[in-house]
Amino acid sequence: MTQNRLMITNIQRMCFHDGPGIRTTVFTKGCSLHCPWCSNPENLSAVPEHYERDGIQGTYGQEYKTEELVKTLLKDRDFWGEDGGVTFSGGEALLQAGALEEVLKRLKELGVHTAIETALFVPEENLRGVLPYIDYGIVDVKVLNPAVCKEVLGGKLEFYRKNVRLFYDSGRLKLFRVPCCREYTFTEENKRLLKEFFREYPNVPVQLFAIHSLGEKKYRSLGRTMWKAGEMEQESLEKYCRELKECGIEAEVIRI
Amino acid sequence: MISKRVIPDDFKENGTDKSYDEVFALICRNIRVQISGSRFVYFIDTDYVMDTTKGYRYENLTPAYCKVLHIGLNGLKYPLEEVTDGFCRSYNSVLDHLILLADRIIAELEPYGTRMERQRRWFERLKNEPVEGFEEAIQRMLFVNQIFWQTDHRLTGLGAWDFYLDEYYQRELAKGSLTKTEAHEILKDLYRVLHHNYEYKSNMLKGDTGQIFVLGRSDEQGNYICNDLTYLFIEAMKDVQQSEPKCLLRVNKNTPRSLIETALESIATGIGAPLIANDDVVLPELIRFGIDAQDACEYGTSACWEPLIIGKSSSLNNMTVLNYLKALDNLLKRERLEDIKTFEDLIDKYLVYLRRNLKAVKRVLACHRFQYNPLLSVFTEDCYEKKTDVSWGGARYHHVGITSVAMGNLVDALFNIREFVFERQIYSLYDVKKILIQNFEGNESLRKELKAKASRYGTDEEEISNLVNRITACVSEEIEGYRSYLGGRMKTGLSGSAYMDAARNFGASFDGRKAGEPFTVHISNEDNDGFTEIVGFASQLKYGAGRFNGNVVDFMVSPDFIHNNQDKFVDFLMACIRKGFFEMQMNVVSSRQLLEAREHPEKFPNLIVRVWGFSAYFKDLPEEYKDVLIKRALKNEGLAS
Repeated sequence: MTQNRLMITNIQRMCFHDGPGIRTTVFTKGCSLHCPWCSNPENLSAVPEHYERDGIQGTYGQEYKTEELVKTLLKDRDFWGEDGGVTFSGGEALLQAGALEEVLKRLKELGVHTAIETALFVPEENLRGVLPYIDYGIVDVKVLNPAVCKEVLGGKLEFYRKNVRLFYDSGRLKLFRVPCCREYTFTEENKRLLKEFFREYPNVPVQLFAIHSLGEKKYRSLGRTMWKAGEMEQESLEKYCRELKECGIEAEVIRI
Repeated sequence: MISKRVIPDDFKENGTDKSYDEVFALICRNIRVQISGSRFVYFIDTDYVMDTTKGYRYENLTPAYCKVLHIGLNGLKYPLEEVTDGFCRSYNSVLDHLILLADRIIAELEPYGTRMERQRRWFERLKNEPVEGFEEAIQRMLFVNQIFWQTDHRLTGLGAWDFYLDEYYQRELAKGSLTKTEAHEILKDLYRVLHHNYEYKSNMLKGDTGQIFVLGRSDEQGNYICNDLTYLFIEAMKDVQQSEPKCLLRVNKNTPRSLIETALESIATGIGAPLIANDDVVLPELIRFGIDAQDACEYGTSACWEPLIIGKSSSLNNMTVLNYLKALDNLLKRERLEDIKTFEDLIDKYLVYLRRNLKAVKRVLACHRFQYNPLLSVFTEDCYEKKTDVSWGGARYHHVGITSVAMGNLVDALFNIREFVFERQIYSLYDVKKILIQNFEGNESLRKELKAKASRYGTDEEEISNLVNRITACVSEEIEGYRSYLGGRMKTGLSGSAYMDAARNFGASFDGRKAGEPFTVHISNEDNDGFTEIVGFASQLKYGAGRFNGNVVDFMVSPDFIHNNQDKFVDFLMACIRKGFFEMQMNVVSSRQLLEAREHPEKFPNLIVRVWGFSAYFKDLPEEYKDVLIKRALKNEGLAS
């Protein structure tokens, strides 16, 4: 991958959930984790992938030159208003930090509000490079037991924690987001760890959401099977949300 | 519905039709007066309706209801010395017989004593006096409305009642004889009373009644004008949860956020209304077309979306349908295809055939002569001064309009031909012709491939809007010189109700559509990445030179999407207004709900959906219309196979 090209799978316009205002979200291809509940399997591998869906074949993944990408993104500029803008999601957008930095820099030059949703399991320098060009950081919080994290997600928690601190100290980390899954992130142990974790970062609100199976068709199109998670009860989310609030943590349950 | 009409025997004498005046008199004398005991007196005797089936009748119009507010019926008549011809006599005769009908209603109200005393007084005053109060004003306009239905004016619009009524509302508020809450209740009763007879009022499908209130407006300087009643009309419509009447909300970039919020709350309930019209785009085009700026500010629509000047216009905006695919079909069947070497050649030839089709449309329209209509003349401005019936050109505006279908199918078909014939050279144009004639038989994999391609119509790629603008500009040029027998010009637009009917006997098309399958709906695209894209596309389209006869962006939205994001959706709508769509309507339904309702209609008796330009109960729709909605909803939610 040359530095001035970004491998992406989708540009989703008119997003309401990926930061303030109305946003255009760019889904980058390639991820450093392999969360069992992932609903975007097409974003796991960093290279283009062939798929077949209902008899129709195609490729997940397309390289965009930075200028070309910026031009495409600007189509919705009139809808962003004062607080909306562009969000980079994935996959793990920070795996393509070089090209991402170029795009972000260009967007900032144009006065566009920028956001990133990241799991932060990346080398620290990847985050450092883009940090000055990010207005709004959304950080996923998943499994906080280092051994389980390594084994199930494939990520080193120490890198993650370091990056979260760096992000937080920059003042650009604005939101934590927890994909709630009974088997991994919503166990009693992890719920306790999450609570402790959030307390370390005062004034960062938390969003909880139940994982879903909307990615099932995409798994099938890649010849894979989606892991079947146990059903999450909305009430248990609400209850945990109340617990967080009682600890002084600003939290809400969202539906995605 | 219209097919069930019974024509009374006494409208004829010795086998010959009686005159308009005679039939109108019979109607006022003989219709069954029905008093329900509710707040408003409103009835239609559906067994005794004027026969207007022998000629081109007026429909899809909105009378000048406000003419009866400041003066009684007698005051509208020509003074005796001014009665100089048959039209003046007919005109006065209409008013005399309306007074006779008012007297009959008064007589029927007598037995109700004090319970209906107010109503009796309202009808007494109707004869000679101006309106005094809010409810009386509504009653008077309802009286006008019912007589239009009684005389077989189909799709009778309602107009800007928030403005007609404001004076009386304000007066009563100041006096303390009315509160805002009471006004809200009164408007709910108004919606209920107009919903009566909705089957009779329905035109092509149940719910297609044309009953539309047009709310809010802009002035010539671009200021936005609304009042309490603008809000109350929307809120009352939301609260009664009926399929119709519905309302259209006119907006501009200065519309208050609170009004957009009120509109969205109504839309989010799924009733498909209000439809939103963007004055910032519509008004300049009306004015450029030659409509007086002040009149343009008073525009409403013909039932669905086609702008017309309320009470000043005898425009018929749905005279026929232009099928954009037809010219391509003609080309493939009649042209020497080997002469078409490039995509550019194809487009050039397409435009030649399109012009030919339009010439045929013009020839057909030139033959129409409207029916003599003194009632409509009474309620149309200028007819009195000109002493001229609407059918002879009495109204200020009598432009005619055509709607259109299949632009989406055409655009996709053309770009597919570009790819498969001119770029990849997999097929020749002859192959395309053969494949379509054979309705994709033996070419199912190709059909699937075409069908699976994301539709390009409604994307904001420049080449798409450029092509659409080029095609519609050709239509504009071709219809520019047209004049109706009254001197009216022709208008066109990209919306049309015939996406099912016109498609039923139409062959396959190279967008993967098989013969008989429905065309795409208005300006829509369920393959879009977001609603912003279709709005971006709509804002790139040209609506000038007569291209303003309805251009509605049509969304399928899942209820959760709005409910979970209400504030941001309001931001989105406000951004859309600034961006410059022409008109917009939303179907807020989930595929799950529609599938369940198709399976178990008894569980969803009140589920309302938006069909072409009206709202209807889902249970009332023919299966094919239900299928289109379900398919679109599935696609919108990314669940289509």
